[in-house]
Amino acid sequence: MAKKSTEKLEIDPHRKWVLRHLRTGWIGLLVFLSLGILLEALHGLKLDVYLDVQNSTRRLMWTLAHAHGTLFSLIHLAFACSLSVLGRREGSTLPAVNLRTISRCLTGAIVLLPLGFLLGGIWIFDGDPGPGIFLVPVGAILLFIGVARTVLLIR
Amino acid sequence: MSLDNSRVESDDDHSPPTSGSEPGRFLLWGVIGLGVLLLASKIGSVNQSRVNHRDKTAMERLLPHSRDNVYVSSNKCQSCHPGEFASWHKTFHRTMTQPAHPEIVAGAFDGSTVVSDGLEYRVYRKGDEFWAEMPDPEEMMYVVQGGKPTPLEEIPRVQRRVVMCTGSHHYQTYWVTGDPKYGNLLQTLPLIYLIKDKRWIPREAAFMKDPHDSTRMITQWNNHCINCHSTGGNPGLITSTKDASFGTEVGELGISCEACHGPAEKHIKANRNPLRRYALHGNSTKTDSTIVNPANLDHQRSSQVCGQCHGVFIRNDGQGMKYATEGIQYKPGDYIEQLRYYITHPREGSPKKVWEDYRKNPKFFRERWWEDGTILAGGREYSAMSASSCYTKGKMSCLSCHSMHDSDPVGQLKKPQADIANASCTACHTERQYTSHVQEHTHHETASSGSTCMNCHMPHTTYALFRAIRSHQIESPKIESSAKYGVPNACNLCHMDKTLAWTQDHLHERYGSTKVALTQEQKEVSAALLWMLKGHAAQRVITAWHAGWEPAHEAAGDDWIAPFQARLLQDPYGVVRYVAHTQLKKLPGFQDFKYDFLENDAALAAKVKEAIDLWRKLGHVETAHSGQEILISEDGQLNEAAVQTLLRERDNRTVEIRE
Repeated sequence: MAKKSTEKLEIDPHRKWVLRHLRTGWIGLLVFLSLGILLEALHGLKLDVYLDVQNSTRRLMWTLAHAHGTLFSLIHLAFACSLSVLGRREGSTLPAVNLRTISRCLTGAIVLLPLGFLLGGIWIFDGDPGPGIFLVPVGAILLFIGVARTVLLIR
Repeated sequence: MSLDNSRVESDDDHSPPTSGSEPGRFLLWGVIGLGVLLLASKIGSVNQSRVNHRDKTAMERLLPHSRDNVYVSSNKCQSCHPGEFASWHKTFHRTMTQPAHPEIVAGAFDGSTVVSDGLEYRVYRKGDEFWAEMPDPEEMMYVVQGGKPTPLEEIPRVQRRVVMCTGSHHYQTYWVTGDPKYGNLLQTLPLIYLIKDKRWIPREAAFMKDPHDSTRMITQWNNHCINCHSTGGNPGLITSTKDASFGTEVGELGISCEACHGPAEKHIKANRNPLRRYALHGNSTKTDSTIVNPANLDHQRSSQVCGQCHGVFIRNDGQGMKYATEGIQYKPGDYIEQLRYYITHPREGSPKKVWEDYRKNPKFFRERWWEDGTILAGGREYSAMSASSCYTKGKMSCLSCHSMHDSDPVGQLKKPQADIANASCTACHTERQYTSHVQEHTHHETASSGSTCMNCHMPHTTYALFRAIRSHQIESPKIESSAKYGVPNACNLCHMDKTLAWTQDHLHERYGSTKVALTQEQKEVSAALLWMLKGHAAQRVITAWHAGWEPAHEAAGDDWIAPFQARLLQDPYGVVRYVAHTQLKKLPGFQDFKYDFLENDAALAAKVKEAIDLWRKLGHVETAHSGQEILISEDGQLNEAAVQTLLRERDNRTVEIRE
């Protein structure tokens, strides 16, 4: 039994990370597609809080939260698939320390960037989003680091 | 061999596709199709934008040039202030002046010919362009304004493109290109299109002016209208050339953001810095020093923002030429008196200079004020309000009642106040007789129109745009103004069936007003009928408008007015005739009464008779509204002799109103 487990690890040395990002990706899709349904409902019900021209900043922010969240979820799934593909290659075990950094960066990005847009749209000042928007650049930087390190890792 | 191979390959080509190649082919064609669609739409949009750009550039050459070195235009404001942009965008201030594009032009340029003071103007279209065939406007300018002795009928006819429109609410008028040697001069097309009526009228028929005065209403947009019908206008008068010409510039056509908030270039530059913006957002007590918000100014400077246009003024010494060559010097937030002298009517206690002004040019005053000094001409609301105690002793400003952003475009009353008409007054007048026990003050039912502050203190005694408008000179009804100067008062404009004596008694009894001597007529005949039949043109037009006013119908009934209102269908003044007809149609039985106020005298006389006959036929004479005051006997007979006597005694003085 133990041997079988060891063999499995050898076959897929990044399983822990793959599962983690598969889970994050699919949960992200569930959350942000649900947000999309909510936004469609706001459209359908023609609610001023979302559609009135003076709330156009809110509309933009929440649309960006939905779009970025969905896209980032796909990035997590793509990352998980990439790790899985790389794991099947002989002798291509990736350094755990790098994987941990990338994983944390991508996870931080999927939380902070859409959340920044979402919070930024709750409280708005005319054409400016609320203070929550300051989470967005932090999330963007984390995403950039995560993607850049992934490129370096797999080149 | 090769042939065989090719056949084999050919056979393969015709073999049923395998399941593996089918999705790939679909995908390939899908991608190609999408690419073609994208390319086609891109090419289409490029071509369209080229066409639009070409047309826009051609128009821009003809219109006043953009003054984008100082004014940024509303487009820049929109991105950060979408709500304010949208609310302003709905207003008639924005659409005051617009380029003559097909979606903006209301007039029927259908080849019609309209006669203005004996000269023909033909309006027509060439595709999306609007044109007029008309007497040469420059030659007309020399003859009418410069005194050149050319007979008008000998002025050569030319075709000129219509490039700009003024107005979008009640009516619209148009501007044609001038001779290029005068720069971007814009000349008037002296026609007006009545939007609701869907008809052209000559310009002179739209204004209260002496019907016997044949002076043509010819003007140039660049040096006159630009002041208030554009934002940040600069006439750009060039005097160095042989013939003076114009390099006219505007911040924006119409009245846009920067007309009230000031030039925004510094504001835009400063607020590109997000840290600055969020520092301001985080501190609600701090205002942005790079822009003016009229709501944050003191009540005087705030009102002057509106008063830069809605007032009677002349420019201070030296400012006239500066304006003509460099543009408007006033910026919101400035003390406007440093640049302009606002003219007031000499009333009791006025400074000596005001009396001198009056003595120098009484006509100027008569064209704008009633003889008692209350405002007559519409569009001068700042001059009216600034003569009111609420402004001089209190803190009232235009923004006490109006809002550019939180209001209905018609009237632009602040939204909560459109429903609660007394709210702006009771903000200061908090005593019980003005709030919880209003009947103690008004002596009218609390919920009635007689308990609405504005109906007594801001009666419709101002005239403009074919209608009576509320006076913005906030005062209490004064019998002396009516008895001595003939100014219609709030009481008799609602209680149209009552005499001045009746009003005097009530004002004395309820408010302790001093009694004045009244004539026998003023004691016996309804004040409204005296103004309507015997009054001068301003009295007639104001009273004619009230004949269709619902609160007046509630107070005095609406079934006895028609035979008197009908007399005004033959009034010498076109605007009186027009107003008389529009309000006559609000009386019972007259909704479909057909009439054209520009018909000849015989036709107008026939219409008067037709209206009176209709009133008799409707049989309203048997109602409770009868009596000597309204010249209808108890058996419903009209006292025609008395009517004729009053008409014979009509005050035929010349009345002109500079709205």
